[in-house]
Order: sequence, then structure tokens, then C-alpha cells
Amino acid sequence: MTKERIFLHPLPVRIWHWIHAIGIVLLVLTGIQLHVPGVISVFGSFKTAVAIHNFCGFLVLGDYCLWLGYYVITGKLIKLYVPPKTDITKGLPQQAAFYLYKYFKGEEPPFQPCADEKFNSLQKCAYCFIMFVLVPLQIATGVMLYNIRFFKPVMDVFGGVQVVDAVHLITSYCFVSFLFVHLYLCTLGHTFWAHFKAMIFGYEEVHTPG
Amino acid sequence: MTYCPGILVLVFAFLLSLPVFFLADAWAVSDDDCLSCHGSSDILDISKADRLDMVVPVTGIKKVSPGVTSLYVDQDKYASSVHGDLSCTDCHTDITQLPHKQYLAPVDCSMCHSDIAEQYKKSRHFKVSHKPCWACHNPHEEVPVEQLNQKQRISICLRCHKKTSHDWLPQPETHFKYLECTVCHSPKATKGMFLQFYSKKDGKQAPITYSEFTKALGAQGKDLYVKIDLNKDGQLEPFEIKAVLKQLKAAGLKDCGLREQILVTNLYHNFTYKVKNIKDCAMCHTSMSPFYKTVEAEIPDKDGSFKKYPVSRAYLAKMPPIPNQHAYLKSVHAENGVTCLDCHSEFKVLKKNGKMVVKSPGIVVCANCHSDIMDKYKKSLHYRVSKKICYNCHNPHSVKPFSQLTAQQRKAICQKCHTDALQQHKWLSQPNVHFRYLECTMCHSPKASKGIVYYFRGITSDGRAVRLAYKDLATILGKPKVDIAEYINKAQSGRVSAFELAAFLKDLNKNVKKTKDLKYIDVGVHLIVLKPVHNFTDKGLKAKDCIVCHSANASFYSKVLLEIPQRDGGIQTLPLDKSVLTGAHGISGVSDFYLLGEHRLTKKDIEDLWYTIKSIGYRWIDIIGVMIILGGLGFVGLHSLFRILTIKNRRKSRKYDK
Repeated sequence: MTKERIFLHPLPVRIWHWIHAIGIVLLVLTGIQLHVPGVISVFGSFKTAVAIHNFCGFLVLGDYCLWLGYYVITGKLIKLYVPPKTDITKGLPQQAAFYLYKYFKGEEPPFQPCADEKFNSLQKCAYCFIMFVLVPLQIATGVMLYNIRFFKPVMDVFGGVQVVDAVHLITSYCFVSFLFVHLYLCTLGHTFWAHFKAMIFGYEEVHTPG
Repeated sequence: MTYCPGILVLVFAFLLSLPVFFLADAWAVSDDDCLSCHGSSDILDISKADRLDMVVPVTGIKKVSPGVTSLYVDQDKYASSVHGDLSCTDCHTDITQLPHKQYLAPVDCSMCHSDIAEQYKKSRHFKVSHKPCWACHNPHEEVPVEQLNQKQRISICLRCHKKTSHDWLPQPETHFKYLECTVCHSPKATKGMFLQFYSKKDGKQAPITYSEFTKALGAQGKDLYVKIDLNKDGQLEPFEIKAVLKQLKAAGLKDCGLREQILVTNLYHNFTYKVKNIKDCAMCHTSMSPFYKTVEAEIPDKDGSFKKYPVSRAYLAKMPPIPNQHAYLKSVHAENGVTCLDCHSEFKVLKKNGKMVVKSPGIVVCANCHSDIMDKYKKSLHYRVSKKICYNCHNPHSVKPFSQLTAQQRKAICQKCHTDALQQHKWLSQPNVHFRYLECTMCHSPKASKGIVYYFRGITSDGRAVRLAYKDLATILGKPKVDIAEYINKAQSGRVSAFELAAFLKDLNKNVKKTKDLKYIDVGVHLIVLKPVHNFTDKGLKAKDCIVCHSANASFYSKVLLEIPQRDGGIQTLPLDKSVLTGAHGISGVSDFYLLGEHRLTKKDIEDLWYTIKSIGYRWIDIIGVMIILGGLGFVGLHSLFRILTIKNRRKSRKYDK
């Protein structure tokens, strides 16, 4: 068995990821303060929290454009993020069975990442849903709530401010939940820190038989 | 020619005193000067015109009524009177020279008796009659009030109140024999009972003297009291008094006896004829009577005077008490101002052959107030079969408000006659449980309204549950005058929510450590009849229908109440939120309260649930959101756990790979 370093994450992707990570964490923390004003004040006054939340919101918006632009230009967007039919019918149950059962038995993962195919079926499905549904939904609702007066006609189509805010809120809960699971699954590389290192340095050490 | 020697005497005296008139400024008027005219009864024989000629005429001064005083002052009586040490001009301050004016200004008794004057001026007696002090009391002969016996005291009032209408009073002659008027008519005066040994001399009662006593008891030169007080406990018992009377009779005083008087010891001059207490027999015929504090016997002393010695209160037992005297004052009737005479108005003879005879007032009396109950009861099988009437079951003298009776006390009313009730109910499942918690009318009065009533109870360190009164709760809260209902129902809605009750219990339990004997406080609960309907039935209708109670639709579920003790000793009931029945609010002590059938799901429960779901509204997002996060964390947690438990498996496979 030999150690091999494979290049998984190009620099623009890493930059996008970490900006996105910081942005989301700050949005969650300020979001909590805005949701229960007067109970938790992480960022001083309510007004400061609003300012930080707005700033991070647009930061994530810009960052999302960076991600989208990068993958569109490189032409890898569909290949990396849209799961083909076999992934759903075969790969997804396989990957789930690995995480829920085979991993504990000490079996090897059914999927080994490479530069061209770096996500397993589960990742693909999850990221597809997050990047094409949740993040755009969160950004759209966030932008609308940023200027309620301006976007009121649009919001009224969806059922008014309350509905838009409800969607924004429930999506943010999903992000928080995802954050925990995401961080945990990252520890399931061949070593505890392997996936973290990969996202910092771009290369991941993989053990290949032989 | 006829002449009166008195006139000569007076003229002579007048001539003799002439120099004094001229030197009036030099010599003050002495008592002897006054008594030279007023000290002889001859003054009463002089005609008014002659009398007026002897004094200085004045105009414009209003004549003052003499009341019971007289122009003649008996010097001996005056000297021994309570005013004997005063000189005439101490009171008659407007006499500075003789002869004095024709009409003198009224004496101001309040110079000395300011407190009495103040009391009297506020009284109805003064407001109506405008009588001055001397209209009743003769200041020239007034003896200390303690020296007046009951008859003398009554005579003061009888001077004016010749006709007293005391026809309503049971045994008026007995009352007039023992009491003085002010015992009833001066409610604020302090009273006492006084005993005096007497013997009949010349057909009249006369106090037995020291020598007569010593002759009978053989205690010459000694304190009589020591001789009479056989058990040396410092007070005279009825048996000691009987023993003395026996000895006196044996010594030849055949007509001796004991005179009993109920007298005022410290008179309060605010007399009244219309106070609710006056016609209340319980004012005297109870152990709370004001004169129970002072019961004394007057025993002659060596020096001829009479000394008062304490008598055991046991002596008062001979006084006819009203039935259940202690309980009556607390009864629902007394609390609603029902006096003895309201029911017993036809009572005239209470004593017969030396024994008390209670004359039944008849059924009509109860119906005077409780006509609705009577109408229903008369239609009931209970009445038609047994012919029992109200007081065969209820004691009107000790009836507590129905709401304050426990299920056990209510059951005891029926079990006075229905002693075999438990045997009769063997058909009932778990009869003991039913008998312990339910009163009979829960089943046998199908039309009565029933309810679930919660009350505060404390659990003692030995596990007993005690019902808490106002004082207990106020002490635990550390607020001696708190209005508990207001304290609990902070929203002032008149309806206690389960949260308010839980918060109150929390407050109590926080402070309960201050009272050593209680471990914690919770609520007890019982099912009781809230409003009885006196149409009892023993068969048919719904008496054997278990579903009446064992159903979620049982009528008592609509009446959930909390009993809150009040400062005046009463109990206030406030409606309580039904949700306490579910035990969902952490209110302990209700886990024992369960009725088979109560937890059946009903359409209303589903409606309630739907309403609750809707009422949570926007907050559902937070609930779902938290569940999403917990789902994520749950996955992480469980996966981590299995990951740790299966480390060995992965190590093995790595080794194998190597």
C-alpha cells in the first residue's frame, strides 16, 4: 500500500469555500441574535448585528457568483454537481450503507475521489440540493428581506413578508444542521484531518493498494 | 296664726350670716355655709316663693332640671358618698358669695368624669333624651358602683323606663332577676358574675355576716376564704360552695342561699337599645360571654367589709347554654346573622320541672328561608318514605356552610341512619374506593351539580397530608396580610390558570423550609357536590349507572375549582383551568386522581389539539428548525458513538491491508 497525493480542490474553489464558510457562520450567529433579540447578543447592538448580517449576506451572494462562474467557465458544473441516474439508484444506497454499516465493520469506502470525480453519490445529491436549491433560496429571500419595501410586490406573490421570512428562517435551520453533519462527515477521511487538509492545501493523501 | 319653726330657724340663720354676706370677698363659701340651709330637710318645706326671696334674683338664666337631686342634702349620705371628700363649691363653681343666685349654672361633671361624659354624649340615650348626669345619678348620695346590688342598679333605669317591653325575651322574669339592664344595653362594658351568701331576715335577703359565717364554719378570727377553699387551689369550686351552704344550714341559717348577680364591672356609658348583639342570646349563653372572665364570690371579712374571691368557671355550667354554643357562632346561620329568636320566636318556657325543655320549632321555620329546598325535598322519595325533616339530618346549630364540609363529613350526615351503607353497596366495583372519596349524593342526587375541587395541602415529614388554612399559607409566604386569591390569580381574570397554580406552588415550596413540620406543599383534590338538590333517590334513575361518572362527558369535568382560604376564615372558590387534570404542569399530588373512562379521546380533544397547533403559529418554524438541528446532531452523535465502539474493526482491517 502506497501513499498518493491527488489534487482535488483548485485555489479558486478553496477561496470560495472558505469565504462561504466564514460567511455562513457569521450569518448564523448574527441570525440567531436577530431571531431572539435581547436574549443573545453576540455582536453588540441589534443594529450592528443587522449590518454584519447584511454584509455577510452580500458576501455570500458574491461568493456564490464566484463559484458558479468558476464551474461554468471550467465546464465542470454539471459533471460535478448533478447526480446521474445511477448515482441515485445505485450509488446513493451504497454510500448510505457504507456510512451506516460497512464503515463500522472496517470496510473500504465504495468511492475514491479523484480530480475529475471528487464527490461521492451522497455528496453529489446533497451539494446539488444545497447549491442549486437552498443557497439560491436563502440568497433570494435574504435579498428580498434586505429591502422589503422595494421587493414587496414580489414577496406578495409568494404570500407576503411572513412567508418569505419563514422560508429564510427554516432554510437557515437547515444550514445549521448541515454544518454539523458536514463537519462530522469531514472527519471520516482516511485520517481525522485528511479532508480538512485537502480543503486547505488542495491535495489529499489517499492510500492506494499496491 | 300658724307658723313654721323651720322658717324661724332659717330667718335666724340668715340674720346670723348677714355679716358673711358683706365680707364675701374676704371669706370663701364653706360647706358649713351651704349646709346651714341645704343640710336640713326643712328647706323642702319652704314655699318656692319664699325660697326664691332668700337668694339673689337673676334674669336671663335658664332653669336647670334638678333630676334626682334635691335641695336637701343628707349630710351623712353625702359624707359616705363617692363625692364625700369634695366641698360644695368644687362642683357648684358659680357660687362665690352668699346668698347665691336664684338659678345656678349646671354642674359640669366632665371636669372629673371626662371619659364618661365623652362616651355618654355619643350615646343614643343622650341624643334622644338630653338627660344630664344627675337625671340618673344623685351626686350627693352616689355610692361607688361596686356597692350597688343588681336591684339598685336596675332601679336607676326604671326611674324613667317604667314600661320595658321585653316580651320577646325567653323567661324575662329570670333575666330581670339576675341581670342589670346595662349587661345587655351597654355592649362595650365589662361584665362579671358575682355570688353572695344570704340569709332571710325579716323576709328580706341579707348578706351573711362574718360572725354568722365563723359560727357555722368554726373559724373564729381566721380568713374565711381559707376555710371555704377546701382544695386550696385559689378558687371556689361548685362543690365547695355547696359544702358551705350545707354547713350554714346546719348551723341554723335555714333560709340561707346564694345570690347570683350578673353585673357590669366597668360601665361604658354608650347605651343603646338597638344593636344586633342585644337580641343575640349567644352574647351571654356561651363560654365566650363577656362575664365569663370574672366570676367572683363576696365573702365577709373580719373588718365587716366584703372581699371578692375568684370562683371556678365551672360554676357557670349551670347557666343554660344555647345548644352547641361554641359551634353556633361559627355556623352558617350565625354567620348570616340568624339569631336564636329568628327561629325560636315562640319559645316562652325553657325550663320545666328544673330541666331544660327544648321545644321543636316545627318544619315551617326552616322553610321560611329554605323554601326551594323544602319544595324539592317534600317531593323526594326520602321524605315520602321516612317523613324525616331538615334537622333529623342537619344540626342547625352547628351547620357549617355546605361548601366547607369534606366528603367524609357529608357522608356522615347520611350514615346517621344508613349505617349499613357499605353492605348495601357490595354490588359496586371497588366499593371501598368509592366510599373513601365520594359522598353519597354524588350518585343519589342525580340532579345535583358536581365538581372537581382542588385544595392546598401540606405533606408532613411523616408523610401525612394536612389541609392548609389561611394562616399556614400566609406564614409560608411570609406575608401575614396577603390576599391569596389575588396573589395566585395575578392576571385578575377570576379564573386560575394551571400556570398560575404551578407558579404559586413553586413559591410555596421555595419558602416551605421555613416551617419545620412540612416537607412540601401540593394540591389535594376531591369530587364533591357543589349545589345539592334535595330530591334524593335510592332506586332507578341513574343511581346505578356507572357512566354518569366514568365518562369524559361526566358533568363534574365542567366545574374544576380551586379552594382558596381567606383571611376571615372563609373559603373562596375560583374556577381553575381544566388542563390541571392532565397533570401536564408539574403539579404534584394529582397523580392519584384518576377516573376510569376519563381519558377517552373525544371530538373536542381533537378540536383542542387543532386549536393548539394553530395557536403556535409562526413558532412552528422554530420547533421544526430545532428538530432539524437535533436530527443533524443526533446523526453525528450516534455515528460518533458507533465509530468509537468499532475502532477495533477498522484497526484490524488496516492491519490486514498492510
